[in-house]
Amino acid sequence: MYPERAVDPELFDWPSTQPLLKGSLCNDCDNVAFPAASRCSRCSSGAQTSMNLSSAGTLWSWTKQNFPPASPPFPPATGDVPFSPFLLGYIELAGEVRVQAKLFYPDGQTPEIGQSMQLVFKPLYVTEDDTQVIGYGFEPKEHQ
Amino acid sequence: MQQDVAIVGLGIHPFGRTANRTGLQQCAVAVNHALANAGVAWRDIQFAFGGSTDAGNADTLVSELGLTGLPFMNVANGCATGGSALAAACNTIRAGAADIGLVCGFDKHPRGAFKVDPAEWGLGNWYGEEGFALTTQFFALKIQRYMHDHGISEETLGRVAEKAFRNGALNPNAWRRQPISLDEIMKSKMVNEPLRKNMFCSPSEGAVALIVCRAEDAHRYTKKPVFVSSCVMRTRRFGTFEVFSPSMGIEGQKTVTEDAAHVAFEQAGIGPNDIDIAQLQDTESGAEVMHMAENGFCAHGEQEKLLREGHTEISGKLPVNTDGGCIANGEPIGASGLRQVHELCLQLREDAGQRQVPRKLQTGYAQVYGAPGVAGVTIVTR
Repeated sequence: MYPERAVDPELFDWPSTQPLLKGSLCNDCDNVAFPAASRCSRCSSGAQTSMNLSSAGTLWSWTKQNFPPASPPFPPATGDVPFSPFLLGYIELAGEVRVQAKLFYPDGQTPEIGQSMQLVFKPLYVTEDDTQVIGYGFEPKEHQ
Repeated sequence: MQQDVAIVGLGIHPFGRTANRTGLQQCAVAVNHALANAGVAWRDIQFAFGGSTDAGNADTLVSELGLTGLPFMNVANGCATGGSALAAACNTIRAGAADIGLVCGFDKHPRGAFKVDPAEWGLGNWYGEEGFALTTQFFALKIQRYMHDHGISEETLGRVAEKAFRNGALNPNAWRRQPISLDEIMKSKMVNEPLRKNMFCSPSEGAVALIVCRAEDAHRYTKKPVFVSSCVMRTRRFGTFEVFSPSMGIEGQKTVTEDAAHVAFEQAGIGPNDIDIAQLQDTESGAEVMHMAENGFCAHGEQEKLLREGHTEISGKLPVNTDGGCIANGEPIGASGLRQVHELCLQLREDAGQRQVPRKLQTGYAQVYGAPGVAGVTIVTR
């Protein structure tokens, strides 16, 4: 077992007993930002409060990445872990914000806009110093 | 309508791949064509705006063209580089600071998808580690939702690409000069669902140069001046869905293209129904479909019928991307926006050869879109 860490500690805490995406709430206009912002992109206010985002939402749009993104920054394919296409999209968290996220579906299942989704955390890659990096994503609720 | 600036010289270096010329050298070729086209010498040019993303500093062109001492401002606005350069040149002339100037854009990109450093776009490295640092994904995600909301079919995406290659085949400066059948397009490799390989433009090379001057002087340089009615550039407002967005607001907001279009029409004092020919950013088929509506040329969803009926063909009511657009010319970022304006000028001058629209054109409209949510619109008249 490798030690584990979040892909970016600004996005979520890892390891954690109840990991959630971290955003911010504007004290002046109630806008929710992800990742957490120091200034509101809606009203430019500097008064922001940290908040955890909802772990459930609906699929707003999706696509599939069929070719490997350039490395870096994308982790290069290795002998034992070749590139495999992955799904991604935007999840609408009601009353909060739409977040970009990886999507995890059972093989052969096509995403459907509007379906209920649940936050999950999955291994992304292992660093050269043997640390397991964890990323975030969403999976369909009925999958659970 | 303010018509105080005229485009009097046109120059282009063929788009595609030119192994033996740097991007700067390609731009020098385009500038020399534009100078000859306007009948002026390099020493007559009083100022210049230009730029590229991957091919060097535009002001270095003075080494190729002559060290005359003119002020030469570099512009770096991604896909809006050409539009921003033209807008700056128009303002220079309107301010009375100069009578005649050069606007140029060029680029030379390596093969494959654009390589993106998240830090350059104000994003953490995690964005790339998750696999999100790709412009192609954005276009796929935006059209996927658009098709869901407005009933656009995959076949309509195919028709846009089919038209682009058909028009490109008529354009001696285009990169892709072979028509590709709708069937072949629909069977090409899936890149990012629902967008296939033959629906995308690819990074390429090329250069465009325009000579602009005070409208009242235009006839000194050409019998066929084209006048700039408006030239605007805008950045995104809150709530829009743009390239490289880890999140977006839920409440609706006009897109940056809609904002730029609105201001451009207002400044020109005309509306979408007054436009005779358009050049719309077609990074891929979906973008052209969505931009038809965002620029005001149809209602959302109407594109399905318009494409089927040939509305945007060279022979149609509103020809769109008559030179083959980005899909047939490829995308040299710094040159694309000016390529659009160059094509409008050729068409308004009735100098577009085999792809000339077979009726009298009075007005033209060009729109560019790019990361991280910028749009430029230029309206020209003759």
